[in-house]
Amino acid sequence: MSQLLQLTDDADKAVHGDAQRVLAEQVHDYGDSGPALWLIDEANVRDPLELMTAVRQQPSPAAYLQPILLLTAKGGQSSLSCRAADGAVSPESFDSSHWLSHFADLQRWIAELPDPNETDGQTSMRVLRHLASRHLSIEPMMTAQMPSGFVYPPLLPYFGGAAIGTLEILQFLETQQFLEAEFSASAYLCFHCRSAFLAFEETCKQCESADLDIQELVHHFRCGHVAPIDEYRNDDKLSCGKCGRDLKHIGVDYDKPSLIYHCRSCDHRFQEADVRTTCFACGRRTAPENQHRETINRFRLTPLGDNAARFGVESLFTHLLERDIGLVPWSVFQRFVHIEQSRIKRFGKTRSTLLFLSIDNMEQIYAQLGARAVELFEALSSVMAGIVRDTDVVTSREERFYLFLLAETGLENAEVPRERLISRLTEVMSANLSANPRLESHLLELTEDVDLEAQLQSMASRPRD
Amino acid sequence: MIEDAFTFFFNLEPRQLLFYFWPFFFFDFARYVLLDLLVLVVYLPGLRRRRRGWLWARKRLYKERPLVSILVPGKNEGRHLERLAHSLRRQSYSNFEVVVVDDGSDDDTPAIGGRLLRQGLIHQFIRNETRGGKASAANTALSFSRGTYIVHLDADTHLSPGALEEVLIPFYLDSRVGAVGADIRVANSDHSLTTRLQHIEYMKTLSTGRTVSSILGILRIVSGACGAFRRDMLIQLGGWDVGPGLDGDIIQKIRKLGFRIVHQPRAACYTHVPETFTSLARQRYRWDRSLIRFRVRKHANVLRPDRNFALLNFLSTAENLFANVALNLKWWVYLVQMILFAPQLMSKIFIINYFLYTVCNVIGYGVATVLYGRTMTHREWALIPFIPLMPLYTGIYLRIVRTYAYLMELCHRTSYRDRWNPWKVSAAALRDRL
Repeated sequence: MSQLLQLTDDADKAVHGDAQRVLAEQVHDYGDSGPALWLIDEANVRDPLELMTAVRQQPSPAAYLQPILLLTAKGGQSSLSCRAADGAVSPESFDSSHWLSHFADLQRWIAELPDPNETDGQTSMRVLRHLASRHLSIEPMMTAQMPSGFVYPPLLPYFGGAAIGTLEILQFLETQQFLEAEFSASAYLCFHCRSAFLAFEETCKQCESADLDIQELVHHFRCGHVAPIDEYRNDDKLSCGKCGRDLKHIGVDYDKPSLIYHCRSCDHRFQEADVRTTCFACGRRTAPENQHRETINRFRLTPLGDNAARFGVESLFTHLLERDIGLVPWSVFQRFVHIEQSRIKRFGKTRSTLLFLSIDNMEQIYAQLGARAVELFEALSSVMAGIVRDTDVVTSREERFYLFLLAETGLENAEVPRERLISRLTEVMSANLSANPRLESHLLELTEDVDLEAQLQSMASRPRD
Repeated sequence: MIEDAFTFFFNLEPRQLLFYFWPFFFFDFARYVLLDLLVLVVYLPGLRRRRRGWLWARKRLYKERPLVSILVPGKNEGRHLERLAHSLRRQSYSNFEVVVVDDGSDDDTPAIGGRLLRQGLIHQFIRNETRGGKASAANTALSFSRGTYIVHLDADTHLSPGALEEVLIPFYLDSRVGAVGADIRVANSDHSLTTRLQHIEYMKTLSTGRTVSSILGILRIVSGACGAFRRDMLIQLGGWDVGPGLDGDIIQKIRKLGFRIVHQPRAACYTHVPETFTSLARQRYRWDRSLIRFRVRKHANVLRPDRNFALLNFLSTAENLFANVALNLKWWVYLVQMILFAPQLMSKIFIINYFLYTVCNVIGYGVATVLYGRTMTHREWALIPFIPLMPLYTGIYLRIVRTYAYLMELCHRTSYRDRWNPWKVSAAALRDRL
């Protein structure tokens, strides 16, 4: 079975928009995984993007993540299809061995996935894996072909060839800290249909007509006369209508202090015109401030995102801690603390302590160690497991903060496990990372007025190097 | 000492009395007391007689409901605009538009103006990026206005609720009226001694003095703080000319066109006055020089008996020059006379003069209170203890400022270098000797 599969939409049989069925017939022999390279010859298909969409909507990473090469007679790279594909080449210069080796890294990345033949249901995961497998920073591209005005071409096939939903998915991944956003542009989108194609026009405040004329005001120093420049025009020179003198030198005889609008419809004169926008798509008309202002970002994968793409969106480290020390969810931990606070308040006999730990450079661990991060996390997890007692309750926030409720332990007694925890974690991390680990910890005696959220806020607001 | 002074005064023969106190008996008593009494014997008794005409004119005003354009030119006046806009909303006459011109402000005036525009409290806000001076800002506002009548307001003023109606009615009483001045009153009277003394001065010279001038038909100024004009007439004149002193200048031009100028004491307009003697001196220095620049130089032709000669215009300017220049000079002559002929009596003469002018001020204040009528407030009554200071204020402080201003303008044309106007405008005015 060839590693290449040249796709066609079989113009005689397939109807437009039925690419998925056509593709299913053609990939039947490949089982769950696709070929090593999808080939689409632009000359043989009506809509390359439609076929690419069919590929990217294959269920398993082993199929949808495979590279797509577009054979295009134009040889250009500027079309949306070319930019949506992983590469474009003219049929004459196509060399399969060159391209197979070109995508070898990508093939390896797919092969290293824990479950390359399992179904990826979530579009967000597919997008993340696409970006991670290609080490791609994704740039928005202006286009008149899509109503949104901006597209991220490589992601188009994941969204059925349309741009709808792309921004939302990227923004979701950003909130999860899997992507890092950087401002690229901003755009006004129609408040109703989200089309970027808006006509802006200045209108008269009085009659809303757009038939406006912009004039310069001229101030004649000598007599203080002020009027639109047209009233000064006298053949090819400027003459003052008040004192009759000619205006010769700007700055010496006269200046132009401002611009004004003149409405040719109602003769109103004013300085600040209203602005109205009309949507080309749905025809709705409103003021720009009522339209939706969207920030268009470029996105870069974070080490956390890279880790999530390889191992899944759940945090690897917290997953290990759940296994080793029974890490509890945040809400459960809060409940424990509340019960302990009530107990202390009521009986006043016992003392408990909270241990706050922050590990500031978790992202560096992913960045430096990549797939080996799991080994370090295993080691860190076992350190914690060696110190935490059965009576202690542990939780985490944002994979960075760890909170330990040390029940029946006074502040002075809690110092011992804290020191041990820090020294062992430091030891393990220093041995595996080039930079020194940044661990911070402090103890707090649990009283009824301790506010967990405030304590975390305080820790989070401390400057990070 | 005071007893000696009065003993000296009562023992004087009539000839000696006139020799030692001729400025008072020959000039100031007539000017400050007798003329003011015209208000009591002519203006106030005539109010009832004129009431029917006033009611008829008011009816015509409300029947026609002409659009009135309120022009508010100024630089860095944003902080006053809101109060002004709210006082305009309380006006009994409501068919007006407010045109604010920001003359190159470098504070938050553009933002305030924009906000008031959005709130509908003003109707036009024109922002000039570069400052052109008061005249150009007023002319810009004029060119954007659409009203039949124009009301020029300073931004730091606010009006009594009926003021707009009151300044419009004279146009319906007499078609020859070209401009109407509101009664300017002090808004920040309580601030300092300076403002209190100005308040008394405004009551006497602006309220009473301008009412008298209006009765005599020789009113020569409508304050820029609040004045109403016929728009067609302003357009004919090309609006305001370059100042300082442009409010007096435009009235002179209106008079030359043959229109009447009226003062309307019932239209109260409250304005902020300088709060320190230094800033007051600066303001008066600017105002006083305009007498030389405009009356003596620019409009000297009203004194010539040519074919354009108009008696009332002649009297208006002649009275202005006599009262301000000649009578000012008289004091220096008087001072020299006393030094030469009665140096040993100077303290007694000073005490008597102080007493006589204080009495004049009390009478002037009394006339003003009658003129104010129901509009007298506790702030005006609270000024009574300060009346004895007025001879020092008007007789010495203002006189020194005035004399210096006249001399500087006569000798050096210093008004052309005043920072009140942008340099480019002053340079053009000086180049053409305007």
